[in-house]
Amino acid sequence: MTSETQQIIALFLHADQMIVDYVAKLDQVQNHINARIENGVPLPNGIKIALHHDKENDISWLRKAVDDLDGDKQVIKGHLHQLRKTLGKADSDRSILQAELLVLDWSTNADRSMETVINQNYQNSDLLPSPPHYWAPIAQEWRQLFKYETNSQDDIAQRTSVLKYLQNVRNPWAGYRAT
Amino acid sequence: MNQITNEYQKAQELASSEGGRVAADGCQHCHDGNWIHLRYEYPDEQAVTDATYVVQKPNGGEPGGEVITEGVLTVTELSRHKYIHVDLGDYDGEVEVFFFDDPTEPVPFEEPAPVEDERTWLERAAESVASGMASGAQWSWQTLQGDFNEDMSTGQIITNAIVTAVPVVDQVADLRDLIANGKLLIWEKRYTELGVWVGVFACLIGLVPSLGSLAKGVIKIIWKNASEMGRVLVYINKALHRTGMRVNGYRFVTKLADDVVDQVGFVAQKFDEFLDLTAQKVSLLKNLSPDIVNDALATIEELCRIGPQKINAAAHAIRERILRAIGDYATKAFAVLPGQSIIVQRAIRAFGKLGPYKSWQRAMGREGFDAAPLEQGAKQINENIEVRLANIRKAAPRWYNELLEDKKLPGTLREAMKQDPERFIKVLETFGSKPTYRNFDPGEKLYRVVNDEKGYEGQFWSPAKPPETEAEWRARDAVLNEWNNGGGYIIAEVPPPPAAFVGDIAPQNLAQIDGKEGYYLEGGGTQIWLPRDYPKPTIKSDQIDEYWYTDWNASVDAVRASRKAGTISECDL
Repeated sequence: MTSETQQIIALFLHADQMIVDYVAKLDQVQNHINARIENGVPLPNGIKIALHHDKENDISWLRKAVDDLDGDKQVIKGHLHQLRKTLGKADSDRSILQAELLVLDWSTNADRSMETVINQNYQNSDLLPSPPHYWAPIAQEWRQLFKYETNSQDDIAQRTSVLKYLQNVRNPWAGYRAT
Repeated sequence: MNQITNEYQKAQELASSEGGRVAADGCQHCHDGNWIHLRYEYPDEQAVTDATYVVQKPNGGEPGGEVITEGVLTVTELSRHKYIHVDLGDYDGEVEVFFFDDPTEPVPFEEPAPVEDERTWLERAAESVASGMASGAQWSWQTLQGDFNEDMSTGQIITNAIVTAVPVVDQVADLRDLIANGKLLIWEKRYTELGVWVGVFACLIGLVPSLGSLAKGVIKIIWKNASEMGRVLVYINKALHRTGMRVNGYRFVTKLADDVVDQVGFVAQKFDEFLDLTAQKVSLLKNLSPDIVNDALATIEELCRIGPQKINAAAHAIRERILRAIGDYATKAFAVLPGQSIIVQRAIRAFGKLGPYKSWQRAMGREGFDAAPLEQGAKQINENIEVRLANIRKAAPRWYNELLEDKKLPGTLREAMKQDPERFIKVLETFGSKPTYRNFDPGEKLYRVVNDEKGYEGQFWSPAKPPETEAEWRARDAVLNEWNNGGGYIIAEVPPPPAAFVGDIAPQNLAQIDGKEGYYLEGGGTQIWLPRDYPKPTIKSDQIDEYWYTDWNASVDAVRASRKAGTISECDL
């Protein structure tokens, strides 16, 4: 196994964990919003800047935001499920290409799904980073690792090496094969 | 469906689930290949009977693609089956289906007329034109119009045309038409009227062996009333079952639009022959003054001169009429996969007010929208699409640098790019190719399909109002159900901002959704990305001019389609 293959597997594992962590952040956001709705606890600034403008005192809108975030968590968990399933069942270099796309596209999917709750303009928040910024380390490493033109010889060799590792050495997602 | 049908269907499905051969008319082995099940119904779920269906290879939701098969829907409320079975032969990919609406008159049948040769037929017409002049009969349009205005039904005309075989040059009506139009041209000198030339053309194209009187019948029906297209197609296809002839209505009519133009030379030649014969007959007339004969011969000479040009104009007018009839009276084309059944509910124009509204309307939120079914307009993905998606993502950072190096890039765009590079690269990944940029003209309108009242805060906009159907919109703009339920759209006036990036929309993979892997939305529409005005939204609420319901979220909707996995017990096999 090349170190590049190791780096790719590590990237996939890192992405997996970051998605899990983001779902936990959304749980926390829902808790804060519920505290605002039920007990009048002011929203922390890190959440106020993430939500749509001028909505922190609109209780009916906040209730809907909590509901919408339930749906958004399902979308995000579903994305992770698909990534794990694709890697767990990988049986061709095309499977690795599909996993590459799933990894890079996570932030766009999350961002677009949460459009009814978060605004599309904020940059940083300690409590709920915007998906593109949260995902920046993954995206930047992705671009460094998957640098070859897709389907070029180098690209296919790279994906084949990852496939062989998953099939013959260790597949951290083997448990998701049957899902 | 009525109760009897439901019970029948349940019994069929039970038999199927028990593993035995399906009872009665469910046919297991008939479902081994590539097939779909079709149903077309009214808004009250009663079956539309006798409509024509056409199955084509994917053509972006529009009729006009390569036809795989066509036929007549035969489901009625008395049928034990709910769907008709359509075999796709060797074709195993996604298909699209559309319909032509529904005639109700019974199929007439008339015995074939005897055939006589073409030269004699033309000569009889010429003789009649000349003798009419000689007798001084008071010809009028009413007495000369032939079967362009006779009391034959569409079904009779089409069925007779097919059953009588091609070419048919002896029918009384055909002869009468040519005589009528010949007299209008020569005697009344009405050669500036397009309708007269269309009449001439329709008579003479009946002489083309490969087209025959079916072509004439179609032309005269459609010329008179384009809304008869559905009826024409049903009768052509029904008549086939009587004769065993290998003609298909939709394909015949579609091809006819081209054939009429291709046959201009042939028709012009036959018209020339007809004029020669008429001139000979006129020259022999004894009881007319030389002045009248000379005048008639001069007119014939003039008709010889202008004939090709007029016939060409008539052919193009017929072609336009046919194409318009096909386009206006077909439904949209709905995508369906082999092994699926599809129900299309007939179009009812929306009478509810779609807009404009000055504010967000609650029903635009499309409460109860279910994001779980496959996105309307989705297609099967292949490796080439995935490769393209990956290459777009790899190209996005390069596009970023190239745009920044562009010295003409408007300052507001440059600033937005530099302020948030990572987010902007993600934006670039949504374009199918490197976007361009442009400055807005004062008062320019932008459009955005939105989920809720805060939808104006989004960055992606469109230069035009959304299409009529959800399938077209989702496919064109590559929008997942989970991102946007598409209940309404807004119109904003710009500038500000002064400038934006513009480009084609990249395809959107559905692989991140369980059960939808293997599908994608094609993209290809135009999107406009507005630079951010952090921390405020780019478009402010006072820039929104109008709020509208999308066509598919209207209170009374247009055409709807629903799909599911097909079962062998639901069709007419």
